[in-house]
Amino acid sequence: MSDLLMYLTNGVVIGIIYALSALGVSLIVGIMNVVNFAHGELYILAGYFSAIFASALGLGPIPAMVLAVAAVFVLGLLLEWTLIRPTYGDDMYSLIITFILSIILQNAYLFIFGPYPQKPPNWISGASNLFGLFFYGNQRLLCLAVAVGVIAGFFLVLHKTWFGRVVRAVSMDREVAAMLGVNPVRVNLLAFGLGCALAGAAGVILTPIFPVTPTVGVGVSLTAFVVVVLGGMGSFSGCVVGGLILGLVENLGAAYLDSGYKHLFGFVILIMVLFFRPAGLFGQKQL
Amino acid sequence: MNELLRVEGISKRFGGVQALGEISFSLGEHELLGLIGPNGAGKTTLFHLIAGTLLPDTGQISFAGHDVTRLKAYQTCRLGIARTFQVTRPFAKLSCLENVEVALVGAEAPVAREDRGERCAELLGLVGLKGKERLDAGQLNLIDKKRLEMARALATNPRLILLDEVLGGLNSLEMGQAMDLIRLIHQDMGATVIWIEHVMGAIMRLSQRVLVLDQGELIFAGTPEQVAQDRRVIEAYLGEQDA
Amino acid sequence: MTMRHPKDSSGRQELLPWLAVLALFLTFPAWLGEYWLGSAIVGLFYVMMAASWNLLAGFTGQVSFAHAAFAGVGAYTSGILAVKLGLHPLLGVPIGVAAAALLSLGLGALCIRMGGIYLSLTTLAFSEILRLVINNEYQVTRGTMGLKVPFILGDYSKATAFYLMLAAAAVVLLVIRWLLKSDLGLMFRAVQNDEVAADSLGVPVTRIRVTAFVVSGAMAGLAGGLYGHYLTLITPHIPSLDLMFLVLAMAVIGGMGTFAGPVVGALFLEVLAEYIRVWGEFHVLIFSLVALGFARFLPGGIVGLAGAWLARRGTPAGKGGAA
Repeated sequence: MSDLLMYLTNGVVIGIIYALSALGVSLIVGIMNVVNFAHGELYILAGYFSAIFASALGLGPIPAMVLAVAAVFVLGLLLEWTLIRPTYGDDMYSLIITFILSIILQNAYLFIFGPYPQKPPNWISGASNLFGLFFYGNQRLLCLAVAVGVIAGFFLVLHKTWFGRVVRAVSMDREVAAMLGVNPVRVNLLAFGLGCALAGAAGVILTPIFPVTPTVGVGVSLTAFVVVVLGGMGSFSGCVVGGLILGLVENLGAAYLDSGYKHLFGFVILIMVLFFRPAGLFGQKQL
Repeated sequence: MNELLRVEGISKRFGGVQALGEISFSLGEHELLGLIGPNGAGKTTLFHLIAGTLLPDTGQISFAGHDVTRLKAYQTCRLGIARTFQVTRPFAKLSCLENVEVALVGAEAPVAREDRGERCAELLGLVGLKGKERLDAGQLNLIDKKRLEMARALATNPRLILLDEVLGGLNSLEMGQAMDLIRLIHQDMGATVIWIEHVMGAIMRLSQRVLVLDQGELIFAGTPEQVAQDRRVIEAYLGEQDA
Repeated sequence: MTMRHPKDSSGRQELLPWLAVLALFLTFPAWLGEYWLGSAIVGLFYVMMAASWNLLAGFTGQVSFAHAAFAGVGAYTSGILAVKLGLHPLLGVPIGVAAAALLSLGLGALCIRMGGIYLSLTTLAFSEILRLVINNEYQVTRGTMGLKVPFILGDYSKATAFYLMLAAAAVVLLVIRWLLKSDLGLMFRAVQNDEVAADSLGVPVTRIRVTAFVVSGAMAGLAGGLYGHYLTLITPHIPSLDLMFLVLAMAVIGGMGTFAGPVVGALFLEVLAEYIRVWGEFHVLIFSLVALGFARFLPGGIVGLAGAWLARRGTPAGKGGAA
């Protein structure tokens, strides 16, 4: 019983981070119809930054994280401006360019940061007794709280600001953008930057638990893609539900079925979604 | 007059917006039907639904005795429904000749290779693209792109052809040519036509019957003379005059 | 009057440079030396990979990230059959091709109707699934240690492997050439240019796309199977994303959407790789930066550049081929 509860807790913690990361992909897909294959590499970059800012600059964990996410946001803006904007209207080239970018970043990390795992210091130590049944690391609980906070903030922006209204309308139907008199170039720029920043946020939150290496980004990207397809392309609440489902399935599956195939469960879900409900759980797009 | 197309209660929503609500009408063989209405009235959406580019949320469409409601565009095309696009969609990197050839190849029984050259040249000549056969379609100006779409649509040997604003942006001379072409398609080739147009004079002159859409609703159906005098139609259009 | 584009009308004349290249390649075993003959075999493997990936990406506009994975399917299928059942590679390779084709059919039927982005996502996921399975099923695949398999035909000889690879590459290129000139090729290009318009003219878009995906996947299976039996050691490097990236970079740098582009790109990068091998890990970084530069600034690739240069000099673009 306590084992099950622990797996469930693990699933929720990981699932929420998956959701956070997937929101970044979904934002960019919804607004620009571009899949950012370098998503995982930006997640890693933020992880490296947070570790370096903490160790080299002697910053506390929070300022180091905020600075890392801000740096990735700015990088996202630059990438949009220099690489993505020229591909507008040619989805194929945006896929190719972001894929090449992911390879460049992986190899650059190997050269700059070395092949060994890196992590920032934990924010907090110790463990708490959950439900009176088992002890659970405080670091993980705090990660969960921060991730929930960032997601809540994202939904607040989505529902309370001009930008959020535009994002919701455009993700539902691209042609609405013109009707609303939106400047698509500016919205695209901001969406791409924010999408990258969300990857970064997931990265800085999870790096203390799962240290980063130059090549873990592929897995991060794929997980985010699975969540987006599961939740339904362009649906933000779908990302949250999808992230939780994937987190739970992976952790329960690894515990009770076969841990070697932990990451295969996500792909099995992907295939099943495509087979039975290709538009995803909350998708609007029709066949 | 034999019925060729019957549309019963079809509707379509996009997200929260009702683009088209419960439209019904029928169309006889060899009829030329004008379809008018202000911007955003749902005219192009109706074409998408008939042609199978989009699927309707409710309702039924039958064409020449077939239920085509759930068919994809390539299937309705093979049954004899062809269309042009309001915003032209040429195959930009294919030559004009190849653009038309795609339609000959896409048919249920593709036209034999050795007959295609002649057929393509003939169709391109018919729409006024003689001499431009080898240009890439992306290099054409807007008017020629519209002509190319007509040639492509005709190459599918349609029984019903859906024309979406073929006169927009043409000068009066070109407009005359385009109207001659529509008359030719309708009278000499014997095709049935539904024609969306904003140029009132033209559509009133050629159409046998006119449907008026406003905000996704069918607000009037009648002869061009009746339409011109209907108060609701005038109001719907007056509302748009400022836009 | 010929039906096709003026660029294509010079069919026979266009074949000449290709025949010259083929003749040159045929002499390689006589003078090239063992080391460079090995590079030429690898180069031919990449020619097949890049050309068949380009058939899909450059001519139907679908980016698959499973091309290396399908090569892996071809290699492992034939390799495992040889090791477990003692099947001769010349029988195993065709079975590997069939396996790759079948898997592409399943994958394509599953996601292509949902649009291009889904294909890219699903193929990336497939490639990761395959990696996981190969690593986990250690008893069968020998994991990262690699699976020792018999040489393709008779006693080990680079010349044998080279001629087989050359024949296979020639067949693959001929089939691609023939496809592009056929009605199917016209529909490929129509679908790439505008799928809504193609659909409205009677072209069954999904079926056309799946067809391209299956043909391309089968060709990757062939390339992978032959390559595996040449190496005699099949490792997870064949179905890896690293190899996938190299193939993509070759097509992009050579010129996507042209017939000659991937061939030029594959041979160019393979030769370049030999010269910068001493830089170790850096060479992938350099390749990726060069590929990004081409994708961003010169989408026509080397072939596009050459074509523009020839056009400026007033001679018809010879190598542009079925561009």
